[in-house]
Amino acid sequence: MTHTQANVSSAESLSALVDGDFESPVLTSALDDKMRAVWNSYQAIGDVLRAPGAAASKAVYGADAVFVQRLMQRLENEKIENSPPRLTAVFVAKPHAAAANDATFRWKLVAGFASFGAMAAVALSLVSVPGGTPEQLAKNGAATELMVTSPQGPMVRDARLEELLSAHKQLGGTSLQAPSGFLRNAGFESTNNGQR
Amino acid sequence: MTEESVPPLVEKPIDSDAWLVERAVAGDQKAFELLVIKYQRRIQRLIGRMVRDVDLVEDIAQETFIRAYRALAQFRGDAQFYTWLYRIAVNTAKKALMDLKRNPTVSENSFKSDDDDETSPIENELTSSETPDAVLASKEIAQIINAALEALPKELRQAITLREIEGLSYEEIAEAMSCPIGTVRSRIFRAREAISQKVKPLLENQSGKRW
Repeated sequence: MTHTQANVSSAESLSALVDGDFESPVLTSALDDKMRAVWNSYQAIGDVLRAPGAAASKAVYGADAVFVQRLMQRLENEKIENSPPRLTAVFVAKPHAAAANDATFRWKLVAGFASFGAMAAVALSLVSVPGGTPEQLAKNGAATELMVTSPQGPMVRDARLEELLSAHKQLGGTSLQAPSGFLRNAGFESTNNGQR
Repeated sequence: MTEESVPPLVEKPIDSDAWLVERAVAGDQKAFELLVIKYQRRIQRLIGRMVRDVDLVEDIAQETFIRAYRALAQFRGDAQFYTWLYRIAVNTAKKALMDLKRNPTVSENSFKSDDDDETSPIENELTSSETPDAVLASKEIAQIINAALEALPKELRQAITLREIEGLSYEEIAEAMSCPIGTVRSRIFRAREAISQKVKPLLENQSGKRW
């Protein structure tokens, strides 16, 4: 197997790493199958050279690629399972309860017109206040005045007030203002003349 | 060879395992993969001395590495990584055997006698997981590696021998060979590459699958 320039550099780094001489985080991140094979063979070479005598030919050298891959897959799965749950919001559409008349278009049309009508009524009531605007009220506000005769002499009264008072007079038969047969007039008399 | 004439130097502990563990703890799963490639056979051989069932040996080895990966953050580096891994493998195997004893459907052939535990003095004795074919292939691999070593130019052979057999650091080898550390690094790499080219096809055949 021939190495490219980059592979030679990586292989040399791995060789140094075997000896604890080179420490670079880039090294492990760039680990690929070629580099795994290189690392594996470097470890096997060391194992053979360090094995005492005849024992060297009895041990099994080099890692089992299937074993390693199965293990790393298990670790990868475990990593995924144990990773903290991500705080991503999941928006779930709330099931919309269909109205009984949802399918009837005519009902929607009626509801639309009703809403429009209600709005129009509100707007109209705001525009046409009885009596008009305050300015208009001020102009038209000159109430009819009447000259009435009262026990205190002639008085100028508002016509509407006069109307109200006369109505009360009609209904106020039992009013304290009028004498009642069953009520006794009471008064205070002072022992001192002219003093109460 | 002239390696014998080199004065003995104090061995400096070099531990790339610790660095790989550190990387793995930081989330670099490929760093852990390098450790698995490095120790899979040794762990399987260790378990094979305790358990007879070939399939069970592999399952326990898988479980060992899974447990080690989960507990990786607890590895403090007080001991060598392999020592730590070794303990996990032994405990995992013992637990598996205890579970098997409780399960009456399991064959007694799965067990080995109490004498055949991890303290067995024969480090490289054959285990149940090593088939005759695998042993034959390993014998061939060992022969090819030794032959390739002998065929290396003197400087390369001396550099890799000092490193792999004598366990010297690059600095110590540079001092012994009177050359810069960069040259040592390059010589060791070239020696490994030369041997690797010869042995790689056999290793790939043995693993049953190419990387």
